Amino acid sequence: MKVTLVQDILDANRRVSAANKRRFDEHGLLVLNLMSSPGAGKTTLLEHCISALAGELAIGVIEGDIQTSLDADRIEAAGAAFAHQINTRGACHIDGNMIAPVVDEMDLDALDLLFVENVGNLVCPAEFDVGEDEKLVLFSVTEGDDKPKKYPLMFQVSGVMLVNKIDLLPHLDADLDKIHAHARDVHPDMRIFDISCKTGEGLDAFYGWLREAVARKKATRV
Amino acid sequence: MHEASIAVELLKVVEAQARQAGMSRVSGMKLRIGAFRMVVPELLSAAFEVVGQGTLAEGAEMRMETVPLVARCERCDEDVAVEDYVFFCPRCGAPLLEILSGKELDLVEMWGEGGESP
Repeated sequence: MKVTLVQDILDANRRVSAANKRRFDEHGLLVLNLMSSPGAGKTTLLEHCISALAGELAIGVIEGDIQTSLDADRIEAAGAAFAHQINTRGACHIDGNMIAPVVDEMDLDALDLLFVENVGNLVCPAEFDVGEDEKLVLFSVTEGDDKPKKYPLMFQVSGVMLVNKIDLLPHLDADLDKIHAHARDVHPDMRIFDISCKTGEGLDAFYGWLREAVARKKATRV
Repeated sequence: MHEASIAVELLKVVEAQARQAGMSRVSGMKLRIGAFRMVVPELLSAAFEVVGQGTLAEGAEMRMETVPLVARCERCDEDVAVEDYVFFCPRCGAPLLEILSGKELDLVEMWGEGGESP
């Protein structure tokens, strides 16, 4: 027999992610899916956010790594309101199914902001939603200014790009304008923050964006 | 190598749809894949061959059709083909913010044994 259908291959994940999102929405909880290459500085950025916004925003983090709980340990030590490590045991991305059981265990009212720190990878995480409000791509200047062109889907699905390690620019051939231009080629209205987690440059602007995004999400709570 | 991740999701869909249709074996399928997904057909086939082992879709033939990346230019009021992933209108230079096609990842046909023809 032959069956004709139009079935989205990623529909199973999309459905679970939509269910996750409904639960976050009920609590007015802002969820950000943070993605990057390995070593771009995701965990360091989150450590900075947690300590800089301590007493102001209760931040939770779901950490995704192939192996180890090193990142969740760092996040916990930074003073996060919630930290949970998922080990994907080989899978190269976090998906909706992986975070659903974690969400069951969480007190969603106790948080203002939840980050999902994805597995370091510029390819697969772009394909899989988790139930986030926004995807953020963190990019470090050491990766070379052509990467937004080489991984277009990642930079197209992310509404925000953080360009990290700008303190290293004087030592590199990378060109910040080129990075911006390449990212905007694939995402013309991309929101961009240039930052250095080493010197703290540019982080205040990002914290301001986080505060506003949290307030906007809370206002949608019915 | 996101083809492996996609193959795993594809198998879930194929199994569910085959069950629903009462099929006992899936011998082939047709996929419609958007250009923006940057799927390498050979890699997806190879990945599916591995994940499909021991399932009702083991050894299933895969046919893939690519859907071009097309976006809407508001200013020209026209659909434009996106070249080299540059989301600006080649004619007027306006940003292309609405993707019309090219992100598909659809299973559109399956054939095999068992079940009743609709």
